[in-house]
Amino acid sequence: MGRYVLRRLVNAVPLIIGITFISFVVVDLAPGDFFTSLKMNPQISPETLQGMEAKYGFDKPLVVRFFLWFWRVLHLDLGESIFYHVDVLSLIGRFLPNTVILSAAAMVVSWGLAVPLGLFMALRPGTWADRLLSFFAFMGMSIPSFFFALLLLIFALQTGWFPTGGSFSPDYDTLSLAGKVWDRVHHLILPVVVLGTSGVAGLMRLMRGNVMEIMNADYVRTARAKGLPERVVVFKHILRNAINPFITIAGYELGALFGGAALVEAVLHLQGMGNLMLQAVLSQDLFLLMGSILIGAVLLIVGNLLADIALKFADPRIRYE
Amino acid sequence: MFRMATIPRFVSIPLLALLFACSGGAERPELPPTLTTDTLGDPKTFNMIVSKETSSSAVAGILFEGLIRREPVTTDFEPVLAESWSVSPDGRTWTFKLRKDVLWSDGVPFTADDIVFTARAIYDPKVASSIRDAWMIEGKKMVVTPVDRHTVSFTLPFPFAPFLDIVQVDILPRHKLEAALDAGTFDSAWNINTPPGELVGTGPYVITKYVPAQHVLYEVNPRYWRKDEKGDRLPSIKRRVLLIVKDINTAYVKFDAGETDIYAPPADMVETIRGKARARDWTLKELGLSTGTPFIAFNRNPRHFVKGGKRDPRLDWFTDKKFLKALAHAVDKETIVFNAFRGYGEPAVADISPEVKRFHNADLKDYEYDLKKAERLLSEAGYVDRDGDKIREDPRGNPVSFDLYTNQGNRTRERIAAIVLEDWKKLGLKVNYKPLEFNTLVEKLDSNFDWDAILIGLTGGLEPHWGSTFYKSSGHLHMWNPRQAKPETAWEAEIDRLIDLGARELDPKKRPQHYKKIQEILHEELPVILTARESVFIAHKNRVLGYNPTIWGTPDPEKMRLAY
Amino acid sequence: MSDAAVSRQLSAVNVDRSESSFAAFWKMAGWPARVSLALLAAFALAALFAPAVAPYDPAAQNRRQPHHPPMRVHLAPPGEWSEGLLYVHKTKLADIRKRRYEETEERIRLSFFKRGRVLTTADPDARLFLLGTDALGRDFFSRLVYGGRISLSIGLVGVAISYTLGILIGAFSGYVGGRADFVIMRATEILMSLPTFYFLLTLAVIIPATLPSSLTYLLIVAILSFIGWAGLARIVRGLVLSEREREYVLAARAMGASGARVLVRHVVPSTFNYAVVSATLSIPGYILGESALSFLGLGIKDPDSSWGLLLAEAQNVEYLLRFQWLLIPGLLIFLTVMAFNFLGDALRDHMDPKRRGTV
Repeated sequence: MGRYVLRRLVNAVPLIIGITFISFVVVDLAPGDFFTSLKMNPQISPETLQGMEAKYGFDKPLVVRFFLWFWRVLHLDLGESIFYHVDVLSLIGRFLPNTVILSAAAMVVSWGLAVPLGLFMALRPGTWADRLLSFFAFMGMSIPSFFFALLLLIFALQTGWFPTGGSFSPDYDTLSLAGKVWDRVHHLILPVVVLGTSGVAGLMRLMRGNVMEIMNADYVRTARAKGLPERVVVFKHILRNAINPFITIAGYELGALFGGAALVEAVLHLQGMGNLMLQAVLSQDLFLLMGSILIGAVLLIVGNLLADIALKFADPRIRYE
Repeated sequence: MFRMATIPRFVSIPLLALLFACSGGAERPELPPTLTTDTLGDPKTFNMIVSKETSSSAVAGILFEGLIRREPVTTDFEPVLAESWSVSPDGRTWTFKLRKDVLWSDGVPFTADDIVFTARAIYDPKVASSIRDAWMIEGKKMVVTPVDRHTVSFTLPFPFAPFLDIVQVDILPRHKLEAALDAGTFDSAWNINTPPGELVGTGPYVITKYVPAQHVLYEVNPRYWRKDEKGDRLPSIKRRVLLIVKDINTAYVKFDAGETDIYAPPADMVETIRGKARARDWTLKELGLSTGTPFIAFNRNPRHFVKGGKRDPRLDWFTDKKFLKALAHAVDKETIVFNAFRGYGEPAVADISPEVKRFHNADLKDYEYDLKKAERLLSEAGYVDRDGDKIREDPRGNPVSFDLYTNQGNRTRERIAAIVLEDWKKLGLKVNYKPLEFNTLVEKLDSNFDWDAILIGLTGGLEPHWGSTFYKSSGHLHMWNPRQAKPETAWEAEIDRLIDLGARELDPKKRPQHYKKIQEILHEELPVILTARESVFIAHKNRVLGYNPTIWGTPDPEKMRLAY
Repeated sequence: MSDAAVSRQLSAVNVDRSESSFAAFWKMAGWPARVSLALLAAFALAALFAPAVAPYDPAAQNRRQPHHPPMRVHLAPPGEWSEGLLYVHKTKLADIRKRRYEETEERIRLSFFKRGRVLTTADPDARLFLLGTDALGRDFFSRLVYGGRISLSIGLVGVAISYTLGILIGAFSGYVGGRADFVIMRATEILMSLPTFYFLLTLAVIIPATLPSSLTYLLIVAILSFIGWAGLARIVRGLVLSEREREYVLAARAMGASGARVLVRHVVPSTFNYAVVSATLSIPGYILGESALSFLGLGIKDPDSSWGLLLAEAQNVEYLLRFQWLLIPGLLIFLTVMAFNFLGDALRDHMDPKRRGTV
């Protein structure tokens, strides 16, 4: 086990170099850079611009720049955002928590609903409830998140029941503790509904499928034949086995946490990594862009590793060489 | 949009003042009435000298003041940190008497040293200042001298008419920033991670909290010097919130939800606001026409079109007055106003907006929309379809085909382009429409000159001299042929001469003549075809009192009040 | 994807080699799949025959009819059928700023198969706006029909590219093994560890905007496929690994067939069943990817049209509230994606009857 983890970690190094290098090349291929837009400012002279370009190392060849950057990354220095004039790491540190809170909330909600609903459907296959839920699952999987977010925005606008964006109110600091919690939750509802819907839909179907497959397994039949109470069969034999694949998914979601919310953040005006990244892309803020991609990749790799390890604990049949 | 990152600080003052004027908020009993307004995008810095974008100046500008400012109704200068000012008989030395009762928000007295320090920071070559180029007068620095503790003088290389416009810059505190300037770290001093308490200004408010992408909270600066007629300390509104919004849609959503007090609706939103105004207790005000206008420029740069002794036919078309006039007659400005500006705007005829009353040339006659006339002009000039493919050929037989670019993502401009394009195609010209990403567009305009026609806009201001980088043949925004060593054509030489005359002409009566002549030349030679100017609106909750903005800003923003 | 997950996927796919005809599928499929298939066929036909289905050129502006609401089509009383079965009312612009139109008494007769269009006005100068117009007075129905060409085909083209790549590379990797396999698998790991959406955004910026829109379109597909092939290659590799030890492959080799021949003739086809099902299910990803990019302004650009781009127009809050026909492209994307999901689901049941009624 220890060796397995070690091997995976060693493997991760070339992986990260590969990912970041590809991204670096791609960003470089884009026409212009951050300074291009400054050229249209009548008050900035070409000399000033050249000075700035040299300061940020934009006058060196691509490979040199990449390794200069990577060398600093090894020292936990992600560089300075050209756009914000701030250390990239601290910038990400400010935006990441909102995305993490949002995604975690969406994950809790979608798991909390999907597991019991999926189980319920599988235990009553073919009934109208099963069909109805299946149909909703299909709808939830099919609705484009940005379209759904737009529809909810109209809803919020028409009813006034929900705040129309942001992560908390401007007078957040003056609220009591309970008020703060409610304020946060209130702002989270709409984005969580959007993000959670697709999550619930997919997971619910997966759960239903898993349960149905397991119900046909020999050990379940044996358990039933032994005359174990149905409750024990369902919760002890079926549920525990059906949940295994979800552990793997949880790992992936750690990475998806990071990116999946981006569109929703854009439409509902939330201050997370998605909007930060979009801004970085549009302004071609190299270091911010690279920093975000790096963090995203690290989260994804770590997530996968954690999932595989967790799966091993949950399912002793799985062995790693 | 060009204005995003590029508005010179001075031009953005009206914008800023507009934002100043905005406000609201769901109050809890313990908070004083709060004015809530919105701003587009996060600040990138709180340092007004290195700030390059309106999103930064909108947030930080509230903290600072300049020596003088424009009064938005009369558009004359009024005193702020300077009590009075005078100019020497030779017109080269300006002397400012400073107020003696001004304290920085941390209690340190404000003195002439702060002015000298600000000038030093602007001129420091290590500082990525966005103001320096404006402070260079034909390449020369101004000499800023402290006469005494409360007097400062500016010495210019020669009398310079727009001088008062450039001294409007915000003054920064020497005692807070000098160490950073000496250490060469001025650019990153006062960045967005700086604790708000460190941000010290002379303005009416101080920042208490900044939450990225959410909001900026302001409280009144208790040491602010301005008092009202009754002797009470200003500003009247003791707390402000600036909501950071991502786009103009979000801005509307926030206003509609009652979260903000003031909102500047784009033309598309005006009817919605008007329809709800009574029920929602809002007021909608039309301020006037926007100072800028989208225009179509044609590339007439021989560095791009003449290569190896061969002259590209496009250069002939784009310098052919008859050809350009035909195109100008085929721009349906009325439809542009109707369909791109929702009926709120006016066709643009002269380069300087009618809002700039002193300098606007009202005597020019527009090229009226007339496709028949345009076709006739083209045929007369020898552009006829000779091979029956419905595309005209120029007199030498080249089919007339060129690209029209604009910056994508700007919906208004994309619509204008679509309208113009349809008509030009009807004339029998092959025009390829290519919306481009902003950076690519700039690269074409500024470095490789690889373009034919471009739909673009620039923001204007009260002082036409700020357009000189556009008007002058040596300017880098002289789009059709930038940074010329010497003017290519006689009319460009004439414009260069008029600009220099205008900048040195101190007589306010004679000065506008030069700029009116420039507009006349541009209208005749058509290096750019103007489209239309959009109307500017502001909507506010009726609880905001004393708020009477003009297109140039809000008079006495410190005296705005909230009814509840 | 972790090895454990791949093995799960593998065990989930029973390589059923039974003959699968369309008729058999239709007979077996439930109503959702049938409706989906019919809907997709209708959309595809409309897009294919866009010049006949759309009454107007999608770029033609009706300058004094911006934001015209959808017209109500009326059935003429039987006595007037000789003049035309259907008619709409002529409208006049009552308020240009409010975009308010009033119906007049005057009728506009519609006719079928006139001037090469399926349904259009009898009078060539009259206008029929089935689904209203946009800000420039362009017929929204025509724009949707033409936009469908891009939105519908992007999934098919994208899947074709990524599945060809995925199957060939995966099969090659699994069959050859050794160092090549190692390198390919590391490459897929890199691709799969890319934060997809961010990388997509970054990639979208590098498409030179000066390209003609047809090329832009292809590049967007290529970008989407570039990210898409890696996961499939790993699964196919797994299938091939288990497949190549099967008797028929061993037999073929024993009979002297070359490695490449065995790969192409026997191993690759064995992965097809899996590929068909998973391809149908991954088409929506491409459709959603394109519409998201276009929605953010990084994909297809005006004057061309795609459903994502058309929906971007509805981002304006006022439009959302007042010109609600601008939301139709969102509905179409939703319906298409749902149809592909239903269809893929039914196909999977069909190819693998054992799993019917499970996932």
